[in-house]
Amino acid sequence: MNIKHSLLNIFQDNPTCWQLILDQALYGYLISQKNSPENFYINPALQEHLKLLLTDFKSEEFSFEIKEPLEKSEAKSIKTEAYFFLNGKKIASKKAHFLSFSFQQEEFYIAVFSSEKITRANAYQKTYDVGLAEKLKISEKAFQNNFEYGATGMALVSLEGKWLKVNKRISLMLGYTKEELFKLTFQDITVPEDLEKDLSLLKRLLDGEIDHYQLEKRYYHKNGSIVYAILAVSIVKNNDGLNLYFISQLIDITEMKRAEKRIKKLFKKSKEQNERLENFAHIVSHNLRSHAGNFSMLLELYESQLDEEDEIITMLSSASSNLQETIEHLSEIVNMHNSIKNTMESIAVLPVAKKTIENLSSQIQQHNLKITLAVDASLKVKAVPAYLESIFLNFISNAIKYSSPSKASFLEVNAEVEDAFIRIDFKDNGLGIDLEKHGHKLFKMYKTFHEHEDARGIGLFLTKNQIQAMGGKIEVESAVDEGTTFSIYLKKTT
Amino acid sequence: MSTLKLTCIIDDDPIYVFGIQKVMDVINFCESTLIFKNGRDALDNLSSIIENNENIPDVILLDLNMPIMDGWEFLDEFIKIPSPKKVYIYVISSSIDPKDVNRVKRYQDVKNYIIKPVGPEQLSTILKDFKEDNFS
Repeated sequence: MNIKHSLLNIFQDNPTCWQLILDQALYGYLISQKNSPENFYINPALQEHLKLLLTDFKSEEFSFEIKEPLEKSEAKSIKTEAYFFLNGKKIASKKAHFLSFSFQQEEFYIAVFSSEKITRANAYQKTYDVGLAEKLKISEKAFQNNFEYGATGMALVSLEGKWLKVNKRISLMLGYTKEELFKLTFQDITVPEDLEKDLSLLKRLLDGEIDHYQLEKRYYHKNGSIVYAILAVSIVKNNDGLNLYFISQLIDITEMKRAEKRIKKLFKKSKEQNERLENFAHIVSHNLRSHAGNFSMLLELYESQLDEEDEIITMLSSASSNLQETIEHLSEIVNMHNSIKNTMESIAVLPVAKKTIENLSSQIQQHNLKITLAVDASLKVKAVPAYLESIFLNFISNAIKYSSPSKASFLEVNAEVEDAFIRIDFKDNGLGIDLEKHGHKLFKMYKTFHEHEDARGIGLFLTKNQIQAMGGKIEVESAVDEGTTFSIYLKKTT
Repeated sequence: MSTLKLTCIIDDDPIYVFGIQKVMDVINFCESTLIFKNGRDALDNLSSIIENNENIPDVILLDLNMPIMDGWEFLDEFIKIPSPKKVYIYVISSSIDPKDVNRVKRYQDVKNYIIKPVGPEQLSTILKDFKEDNFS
């Protein structure tokens, strides 16, 4: 069989052979329908050549025209020019051998782009250079804009440290005009203490040990003030690997630094204040106590030696015991926050409530207070046992103390889970508190709101402090003559 | 009749020392007292008294906050001295700091921690403890 004569049949039966030839061809091939030029095929070699001219090649936007229209199904090919368009814009013109042929009653062209040697290999090199230049032009423009108007300071700096090109931001940051900067080196305006670390990194960059670096450093503003900046530096080399210049980027962090300084100062101040407070607490809990203790001891001694009662001594004794009590309360508050962590444990609420009610039973009966307890036995809180007892004692005795004599008094104690807390409500129908008037000082030390003989204004203050020390919180709702509801939140445990 | 022969008071506060002695007189606490102004003073004298087996106190009332040598340092040194006689040590301080209270509990030789001011009741309790241990 003569293969040359059978080629047609071979290709007809094996279309992939054709495909391979076209795909791998070094010449560019174009096949197109004559009446609808948008219907065309171009092989990879031509595609690649055309694509490299464009950043984003899409066949839909691509079209072509032939300089001289071809006659119908000519036997011989003619050499003519093809114009390539992208979105109607001419991007190239190429000479090619065109041949017209018909297939299934339709007219087609086939073009072979060989005359300019658009082989895949050299097309690549040639168009790469052109395309790159094109691309560079675009990116250079983008870079120019970015460089000049960017939010970061940017500069090209010579290997010796001279400013070669700076943007507006740098001028703004450092207070110098561009012209002034060009006469300076970065060394001139770097705060001396920060120069060494910058220079040592620069040297490593020059030696090729690193390809960029970043550091926080300080510059002098033209007006003498200090500018804090984050500096990022990279190096530009030519094709032979020789160092050309540095690209520096600067971000002004002066404001952030100032804020940080203010916060640090504030932190230091509050730390000092806290230390003073602790010191004060120690003075209260020890020194004041010992003096007050001496007073009390001496007075007691003196009083015991008196044959008859002396009014002034009696009053002195009373003043002395008040002083002792005050100091006691103060120290209690101080110690509460200091010693809390080790003494917290998981405690069931119900037994504490029951025990407190039991302890107060005679007073409860005396005031005819009806207490209902709705606390699930499974509820447990993280608390200091003594505090929890004291909290219950306080609220229940408050409900007794401030119950209304004119109606049947009740106190409802409910507990339920609320997120990570257990909320315990103490709801009474007692005298109530005018919260608008007294709300702001309800939990303050030595504030009382009823003319009650036992009201000392310490209970709620202590209670609030105990609750807070255990990581909880307290809320109150109240209306005069209607009653009060205290809600306390304590951390839930299992 | 008093049951204690000798009580040792270690405290730097002269008013307290004056007062406690008066209270002691009132309740007839002991026959005599030995006063030291700080831990160092007390340790030096007590160690020589014990060494020579002289008049060893029955009870020591020890303050915590003192100059030169405080109550803690005194305790650490004193409990190392072997004594032929059991000495009842009471820490008597103004501090209600739980840290101090707990720290005292770690000393087996300390009978109790008493918070100032000290009056007749507290001294009577000391006396009672001593009697129970020694005469029952």
